[in-house]
Amino acid sequence: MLKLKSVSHDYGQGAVLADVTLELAPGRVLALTGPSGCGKSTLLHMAAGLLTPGAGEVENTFRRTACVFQEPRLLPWRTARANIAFGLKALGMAGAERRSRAEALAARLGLADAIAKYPHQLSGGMRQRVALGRALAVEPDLLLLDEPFGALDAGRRAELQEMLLGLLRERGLAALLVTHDVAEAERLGDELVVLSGAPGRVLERRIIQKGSQ
Amino acid sequence: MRRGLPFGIQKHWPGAVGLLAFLALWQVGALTTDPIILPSPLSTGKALVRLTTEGRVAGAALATALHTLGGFGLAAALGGALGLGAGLSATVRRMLAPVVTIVQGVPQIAWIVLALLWFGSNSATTPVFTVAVGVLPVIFAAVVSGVSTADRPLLEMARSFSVPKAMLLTDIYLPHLVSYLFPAVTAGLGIGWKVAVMAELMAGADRGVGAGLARARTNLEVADAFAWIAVIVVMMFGLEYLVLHPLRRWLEPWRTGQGEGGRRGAEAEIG
Repeated sequence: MLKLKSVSHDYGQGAVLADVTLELAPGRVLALTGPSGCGKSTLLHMAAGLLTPGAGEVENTFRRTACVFQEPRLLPWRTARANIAFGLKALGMAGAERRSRAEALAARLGLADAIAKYPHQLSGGMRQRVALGRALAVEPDLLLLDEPFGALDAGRRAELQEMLLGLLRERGLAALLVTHDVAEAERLGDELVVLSGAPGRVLERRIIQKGSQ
Repeated sequence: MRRGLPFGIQKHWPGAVGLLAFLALWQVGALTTDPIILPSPLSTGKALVRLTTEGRVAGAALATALHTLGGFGLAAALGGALGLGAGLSATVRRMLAPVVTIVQGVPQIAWIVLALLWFGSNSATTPVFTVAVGVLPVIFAAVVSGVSTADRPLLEMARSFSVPKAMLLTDIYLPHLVSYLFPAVTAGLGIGWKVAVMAELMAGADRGVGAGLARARTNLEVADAFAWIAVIVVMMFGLEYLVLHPLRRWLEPWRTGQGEGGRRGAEAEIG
């Protein structure tokens, strides 16, 4: 379970989040949306343990959490393969083992031909796939996604949403997805939470009724 | 465009034309002036061959290379250590800033005079010291900016994967630093080379390209002076294309073709 219990935050220039409570159960996808500056990313940083809330509490009992940021944040001096294996290296896995895992994952993400290329040789969509691969490589049970496809054009975005949806189901992952795109939220999420403008409060919470997909 | 020409020719012909024009102009100048003032390209070439076969070029080039690299090594060690301190601590940075400004403000020629007074004329320490002082600020500045500009989003990403400290150093800080350091190494070696020759010449050293140049001046052998200048130019080219370029390809394979590739990638991301 991931629980954010009435968290608030202030970076020093007025409150960004006011008394927000969220709960995410294993295997569920919670989509978080709202106007820009409503503290969506701040919430995600708290869930990732990268930021301590000014008030309130964060409880994360998932075994392992991995993040995908809005920009790919790849190491420019490493190949796609080494970038995917980055988290595994941090876990202390041996070189051969992490390379073979990274290659298997790259194949699943449609990156088989890009494995030896450097980030600057890849398109924006491919770079974001590498970033997704890096997060999935550590076999998390919670994925935190901060507008992961925001910088891509509509065609690429739809393609990657489809891929992500498949991966989430296949691996039974829980995910917290921050997006400004309501269509994306409804497509990927089981539950939708809408935040108000700054300071962000929960405006609306609803279960997304999936059509006969 | 110019599809008929092989790539090498298409790329290099303007440079070759420029070089030939330069040699032609030199030849014309040599024909119209006294050879005591301007020797022809041919007599310069002959002097170069003679100096080389007498075994003087190789020894001098080696001595100058050792002076340059010795001074550069000192500057890299000291500038690197100080730069690391200044990059990591704003207090150290502010303490060192006026010192660096002073060192940078003193002209090379003044350092040579000081080195002559301190280490004497016919000593290898004089050129080595002068090169070290000249190159130090360049290395220092590059290390400071390299250390203090580590990419924050990348560091945050690393933190989200609980990356251990040692791996932060090898996978993020060092590769980032190398990308700052490399231009400084190129510039530093270029400066060091010229300063080494200057110090050798001024110090009346008996070894090095600068010493050869000084002897040519004393004996009024103008063709020899031109030959020594040619040696310096050739050594600079050799350094650039035989040492620095391969070194860069080895250290930073990820930069190959980045200019256009990177930009193209960025456009694709926005569009």
